[in-house]
Amino acid sequence: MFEGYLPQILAGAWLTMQLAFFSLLLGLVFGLIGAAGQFSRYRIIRRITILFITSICGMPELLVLFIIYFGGTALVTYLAGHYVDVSSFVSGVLGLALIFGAYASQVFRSAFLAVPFGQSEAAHALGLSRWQIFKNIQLPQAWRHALPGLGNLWLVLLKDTALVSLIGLADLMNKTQVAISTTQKPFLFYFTAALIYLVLTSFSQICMKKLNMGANRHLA
Amino acid sequence: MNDIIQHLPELISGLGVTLALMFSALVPAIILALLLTPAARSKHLWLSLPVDGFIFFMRGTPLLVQIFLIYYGSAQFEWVRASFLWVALREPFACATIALALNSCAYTIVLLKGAIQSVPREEITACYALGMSQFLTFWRITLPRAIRIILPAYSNEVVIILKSTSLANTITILDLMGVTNKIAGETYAVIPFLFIAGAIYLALNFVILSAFRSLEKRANVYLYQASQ
Amino acid sequence: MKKILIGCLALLLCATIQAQPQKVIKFASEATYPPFEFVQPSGELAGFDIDIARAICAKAELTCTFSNQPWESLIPALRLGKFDAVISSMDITDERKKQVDFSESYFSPSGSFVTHKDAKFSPTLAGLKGKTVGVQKGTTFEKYLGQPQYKDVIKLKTYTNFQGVTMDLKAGRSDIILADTPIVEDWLKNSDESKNFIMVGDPIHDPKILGVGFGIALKKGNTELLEKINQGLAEIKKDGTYQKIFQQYFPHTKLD
Repeated sequence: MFEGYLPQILAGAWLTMQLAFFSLLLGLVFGLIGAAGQFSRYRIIRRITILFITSICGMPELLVLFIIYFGGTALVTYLAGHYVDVSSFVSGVLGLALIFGAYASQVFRSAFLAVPFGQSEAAHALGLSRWQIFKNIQLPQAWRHALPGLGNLWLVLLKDTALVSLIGLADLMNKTQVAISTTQKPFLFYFTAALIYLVLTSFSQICMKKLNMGANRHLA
Repeated sequence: MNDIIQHLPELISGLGVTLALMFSALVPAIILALLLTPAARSKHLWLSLPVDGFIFFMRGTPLLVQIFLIYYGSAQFEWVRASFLWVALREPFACATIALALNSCAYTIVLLKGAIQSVPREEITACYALGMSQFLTFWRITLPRAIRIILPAYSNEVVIILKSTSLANTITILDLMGVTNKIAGETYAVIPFLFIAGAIYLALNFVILSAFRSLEKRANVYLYQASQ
Repeated sequence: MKKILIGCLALLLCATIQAQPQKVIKFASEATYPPFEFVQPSGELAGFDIDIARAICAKAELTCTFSNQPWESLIPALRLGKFDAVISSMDITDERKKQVDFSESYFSPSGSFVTHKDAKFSPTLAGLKGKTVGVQKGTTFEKYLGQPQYKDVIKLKTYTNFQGVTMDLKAGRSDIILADTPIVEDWLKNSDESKNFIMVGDPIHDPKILGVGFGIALKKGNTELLEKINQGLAEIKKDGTYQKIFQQYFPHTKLD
C-alpha cells in the first residue's frame, strides 16, 4: 500500500521526535532564562526580555524559523569573523526552542509567582543562599505548577515540528511529501502522517498525566 | 530601501489576503463552535463522541497536515472532484479557510466548554427556580457569562489564527508570507523582507490584543460600576 | 538531570560550531523533479543530475554528498555557505549569475506546456487569455510567464514543487502548466497520464529568460571548485560517460 516508502516515513517520524526532544530541552532552558529576565532587578533587562518574548510569540512560527535559518548563519558568521555553518537541524532546534521558550517563560513566571513569597523569606532568614532557595524551595514547587502548562506547550511543539520540512529537514512531513512526489497518493500519505502525529500527541498526553500524578503525589 | 518601496504594493495586497483569511476563518469557526459546544457537553454519547473525536483529531495533528489533506488530499478522489464540494475545494483560498476554521473551531469548543463549566452552578439553579427554561438560561445567563470568561483566552486564539494564516502560502496563496517569500526569491534580499513581514505581523498582533482589551473592559463594565 | 542537560547543551553547541570536514563537497538539490533529481524509497537521491555530479566528482577526485533542500532556499543558502554546490536543473540566467557562479552548461533546456487532451486552446498569448497556468515557484518559467505581455492575461499559480503543479492540473484547479520538457515527458510517460494530458505547442527556447542551459551553481568566488567541476564536466563529455548517462535517462532524445 505504501509502495516501499513506509520505512522512510518512519525514519522521518524518528527525526521529528529527535527535533522535538532537543527543542524541549533547550526550550526549557530558554524558558527559565526568560522567566528570570522578567524577575530581574533592572528595568532595562525586564523590558528587553518582555519585548523579545512578545516578538517571538507574535510572529508566525514559520517566520521565526526562516529568520533563524537564514539570519542565524549570517549572524554567527559575522560574529565569528569567519564562516560558521549552522545546520538545518540546529536552526530547526534553535527556532523551535526559542518559540517554546518564549511561551514557557510565561508559564514559569506564573508558576514562580504561585510559590508563596513567605517561604523564600523564611529560607533567607535560615541563612540559605539565593541559589539554594531557588534550587531547593522555589524550583520544585514551581515545577509542579508549571507542569500542565508545559505539557500543552509540548503538544504545540510536536506539531510545530512539521514546519521544519519547509527549511529542508527530512522530518515526517518532508518524507511524506517525497513519498507523494513519486506515488501521487496525497490523501493516503498525508492521512498516514496525521495518524503518526496523533499517536505521538496521544502518547505524550498519557505520559503527561503520569508525570502530573507523580508531581502531585504528596497531595493525594 | 528602494527594493522595499518598490515592493510595497505587493506587501499591502498580501496583508489584505492575510486579513481576509483570518476573518473568513474566524467567523464560521465561532458559529460552528457555538453550535457544537452543547453537543460536546451532551450526556448522549452519540452526540458527544463525534465532536470529541473531531477535537481530538484537530488538536493532535499539525495544521500544515490538515491544510495539505484538504487541498491535495481531496483532489485525489474522482468522486470529490465530481461533487458539488468541488466548487469550494478547487479554490485554494477556500481550502485554507476551511482548514483554519475547523482548527479554530476545535480549540474554541474546548475554551467554551471550560468556561461554561466555570459558571457558578448556583446562578443556573437560581434561574430554574425563577422558572426560566433550560434554553433561556443557557442563552441569557450561561453563555454571556462564559463569553466574558473566555475573552482573554480567545484573544490568544485569534492571534494564533492570524499566525497560522501564514501556512496558506504553501498552497499557492499569496498572503503576507507568500508575498514575502516571492519578493525574497526575486531580490535575494531574504533577511530584510523577513523582518518587514515580522514587523507587520507584530503590529497586527498589537491591534488585535488592544481591541480585545477594550472589549474586555466593556464586557466587564459592571465590575467597574460596582466598585465605584 | 543537570548533567544531562549540560551535556545536551554542549552537544548542541558543538554541532553548531563544528568545523567543516575538509574535501567533502556538499551538493544540494530539490529532489522532487524526476528524472533529473528525486528521492528513492531508500532515501537516497538519484537522477540525471545526481549521476552527472557523481561522475564529475569521480573525475575530479572529490568526495561528494547530496541533500534534498527546498527549491526557494537553494540560492540563499548556497550564498550563506550551507552547501558547496547546487545541481538542481537550474538554468544559468543573468539574474542568477549576479548571485552565484555557474559551471558550464550540462544540459540544454526547453519548456513545454501540458494541458488536458480536450482543451480547445493553444498556448499562444491569445489562447491563454483568462486561463490559469501552473508553474513551480522561483523557476525561469515563472519569470517567463511573469513578462509584461502575460500580465492581466493569465492567472499564474505557483507551487513549491513540481508535484503540486501536476496535482492541481489533474484536479482541474489549473488549465495548463509549463515546465522543463524532459520533466513533463517523464511525468506523462511514467504516471499513465498521457491518456488525459498532452504536450501542446512548440517547446520554448528563450535564452534571455530561460537561460543558456542547466549549470551547477557555486558560491561566488569559489574558483578552485568551479575549475575542478568544469574540468570534470569536460572530461566526462570527452570520454563518453556523459553520453551514457544521457542515453540512460533520455533514450528518445537526440543529443546534439
